[in-house]
Amino acid sequence: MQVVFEQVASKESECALIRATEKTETISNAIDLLEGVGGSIAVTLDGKTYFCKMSEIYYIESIDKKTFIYTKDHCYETKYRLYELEHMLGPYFMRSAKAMIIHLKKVKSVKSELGGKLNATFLNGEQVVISRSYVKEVKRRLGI
Amino acid sequence: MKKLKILFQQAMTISTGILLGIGLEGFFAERQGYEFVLGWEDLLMIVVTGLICAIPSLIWLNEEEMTRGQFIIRLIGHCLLLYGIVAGIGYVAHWYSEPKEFAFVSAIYFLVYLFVWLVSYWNGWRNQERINQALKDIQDQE
Repeated sequence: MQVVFEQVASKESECALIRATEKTETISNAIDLLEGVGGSIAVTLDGKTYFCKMSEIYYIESIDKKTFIYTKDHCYETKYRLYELEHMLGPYFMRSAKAMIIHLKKVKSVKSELGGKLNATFLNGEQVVISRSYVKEVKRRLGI
Repeated sequence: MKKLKILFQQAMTISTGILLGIGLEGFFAERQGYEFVLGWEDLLMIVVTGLICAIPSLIWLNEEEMTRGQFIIRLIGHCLLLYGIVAGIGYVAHWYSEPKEFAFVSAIYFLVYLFVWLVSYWNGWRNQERINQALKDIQDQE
């Protein structure tokens, strides 16, 4: 595969275009890497340490100075703080409230609520609230 | 700075709503053969009213952590508080002098208040639809 790199002036213009006859596993991994979900994060559950793939994260919540990572079926704890995870994770991870980061690719749908908030339903049925002040950023990340 | 910006935006929205109401009042007054005049003091009072009415909005309705029930209670309280402010300023600024005129001002107030919230609801619905459409394009298959 021929690879072409073209430098652009601003971050807003950054984009990766992959042209291929089929989406192979290698290409899927490359896409995950570029979208910032190709890596893993060290997490703990019941005293054991695991590596949670970023692509499996649904949302991350901070409660009482502890950070919890939620996947489809599990809840893990991580030593990282929310602001650190914000830098580690890709553009589809974003703050939805003061103490929460959501993974937009895992959101099934949103519903508008009174006061300008959005009620987001994930692919596994869980629901979280996107605060009014973050709705504009949701639209920006989705390119609306 | 952000709160000042919200305060300013709210004040402008409310002032525009009041101008709309006064415009309607003037329209109906002229149709009934009455002369309707708007002085500089009236325009100033509209801006002042907008600013004063914006303050409860900033304090009462700007909190993020509210349940649906709490928001509705605050909304009703907010509506009545603003009504009190508009009625009070209207009395001082001579926007009305008899019960019939007060009833008209009250009706316009509630219509404008309802209109502003309907627009807000419609904006929310529009956001919802656009976001849901965009989510379909990036959603993971599970």
